[in-house]
Amino acid sequence: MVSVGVIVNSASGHDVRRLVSAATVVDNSEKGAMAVRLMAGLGAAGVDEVLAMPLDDTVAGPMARVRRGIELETGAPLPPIRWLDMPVVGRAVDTCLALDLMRQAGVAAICVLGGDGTQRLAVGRIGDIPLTPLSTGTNNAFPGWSEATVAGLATGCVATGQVSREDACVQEHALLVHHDGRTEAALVDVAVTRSLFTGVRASWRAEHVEEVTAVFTDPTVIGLSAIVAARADAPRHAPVAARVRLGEGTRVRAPLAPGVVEEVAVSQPQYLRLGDVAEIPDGHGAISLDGERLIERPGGLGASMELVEALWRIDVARAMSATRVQRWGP
Amino acid sequence: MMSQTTGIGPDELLGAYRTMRTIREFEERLHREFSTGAIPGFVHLYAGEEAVAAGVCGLLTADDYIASTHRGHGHAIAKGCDVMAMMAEIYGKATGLCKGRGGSMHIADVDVGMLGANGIVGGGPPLVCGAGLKAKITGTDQVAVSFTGDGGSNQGTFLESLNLASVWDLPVIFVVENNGYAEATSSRYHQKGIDVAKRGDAFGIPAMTVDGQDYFEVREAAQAAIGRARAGGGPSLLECKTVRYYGHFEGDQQTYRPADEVPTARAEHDPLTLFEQRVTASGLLDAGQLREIDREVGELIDRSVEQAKAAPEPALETLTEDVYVSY
Repeated sequence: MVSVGVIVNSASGHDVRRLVSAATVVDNSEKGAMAVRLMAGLGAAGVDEVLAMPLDDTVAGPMARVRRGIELETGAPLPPIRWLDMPVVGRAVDTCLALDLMRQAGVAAICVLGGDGTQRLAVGRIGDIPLTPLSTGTNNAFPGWSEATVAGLATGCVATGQVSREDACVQEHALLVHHDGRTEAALVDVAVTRSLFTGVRASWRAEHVEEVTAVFTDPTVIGLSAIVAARADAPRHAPVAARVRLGEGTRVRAPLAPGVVEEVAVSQPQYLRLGDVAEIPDGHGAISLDGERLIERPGGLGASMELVEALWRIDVARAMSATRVQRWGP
Repeated sequence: MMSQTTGIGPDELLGAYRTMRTIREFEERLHREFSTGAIPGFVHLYAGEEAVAAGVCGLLTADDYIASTHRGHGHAIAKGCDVMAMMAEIYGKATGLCKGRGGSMHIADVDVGMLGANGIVGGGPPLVCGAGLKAKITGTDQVAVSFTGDGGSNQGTFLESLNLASVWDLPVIFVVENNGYAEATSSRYHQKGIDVAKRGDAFGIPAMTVDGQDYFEVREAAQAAIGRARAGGGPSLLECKTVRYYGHFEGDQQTYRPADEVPTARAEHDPLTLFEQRVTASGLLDAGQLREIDREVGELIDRSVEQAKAAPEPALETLTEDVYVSY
């Protein structure tokens, strides 16, 4: 019995960037349809069962309708869904609990549909189980875009052992931030802001940010890490992160939110290697993780951050390439 | 582009706290007074939801408009209605804000942009579309804000207003105070999906969901929405998840709620407590300043009740006054 976990964050996609930038929304009908396409791919690859976090009605309804349509059209039933027995309150704790339960259940892989803020919850919870992250918004750097059917095929091939983890998976890194006895993870970036309070979470203006450390610098992504990518080179899967201060140094232009490109002065980058611990100086500015202010520092206490190996991500392109090699020989 | 909460000064913070404390004291006192039978009609208390009214209305000017709900005391206080006159109004006295004609559910003061509490569930959104249309036609930078509950968001008036505001690109903000209950019915039973904000998507209205117990989160979101509307960016929808500390109305036995729901919210997620913890820990205010406001507000509410009780009833011969208004 091969089980794959599927988490759909129905609450994602309604942050302030819808009001202050051109960020768009993947609505819940589309999220439901994405989940069905994902399951079709999983089923085609031989996955026996989907273990799923209970869904908001606005996702579950469209999902059930699309699922019936696909099954009627293809004549092939999709893998049965076993719903996790857990409360759902529409907050991050749902995803955390679902990840814990899926790990306990021994799933072979987990697919998470959501943004950076949802994906980062997998760090420290998912263990060695490979993750397929699927973006459900326009403001994400970690998950990237992939057609859900293909992502399902790739995940299924890994889950069933048709493609080895070594051929399909890549090591992702994270920055762990330690503050006042608490540890939080970021898969994309850690920023020190000038905001005292977490407020609406998102940081979308460079003038409100003092410094940014990017887990990786990808010049094709959007958000705070794009500022770092304009001056530093820390390739995605390399065990190195890059840190810059804002408001000093070379002026660069960076896409901070959909439709928003800002010019900002950026210092020479400093690099953190795997296992390095870097200090975040004392100060009152809230700390942002993956674009969301999450840690307030009312006492003005400093913090520290360290680069760690976080999780194994199924690289859809690599996995599908490996299936091709196995089909037709090297 | 709107700023984040980097520049809130002590005066604004003290003002926000005074607003929230005034709402809380006003409602807690009404809770006690209503049980004595001295207050005519119904009252629906706003306690627990203070951060929404304070966070949104604190950024409006007297020229901006709001339209409220049957649970409207908090909105009225936050928008600047006179507290003494409000209390007298609820007691049905001649010195009331509406000369005792309206009572709790029809408090209004157009002079401060408060278009009225409203006994019609979902009645506010169409009104602010009208106010927003007026602002747009006359070329002012006024904005209009409607407050609606999760129950009200199921009304046709709400959905029609979203459409109208989107079609006409009005300077309107639809604030949904989602306290999880439409009267006695949990939103799990009356609503498809957890988030009302998603309804904005269908009308092309940008929408977001915030923690309505967090003053700073509400304020930042409201700042973005109000700034957008004022600058000609059109309508937006702001869903605030909040908690109603009392029943739908005073006297509601609340058998439909888990027994620990309100005590837990009061202990762990009270908007005033959260506000105080954060502004004092950050050194922006000290507890002594807040206690002084508590004392002043307590005296104000005591005085408002005393004067309301002592005030005269509306005279019988004024019964037909103010029925019609000539423009």
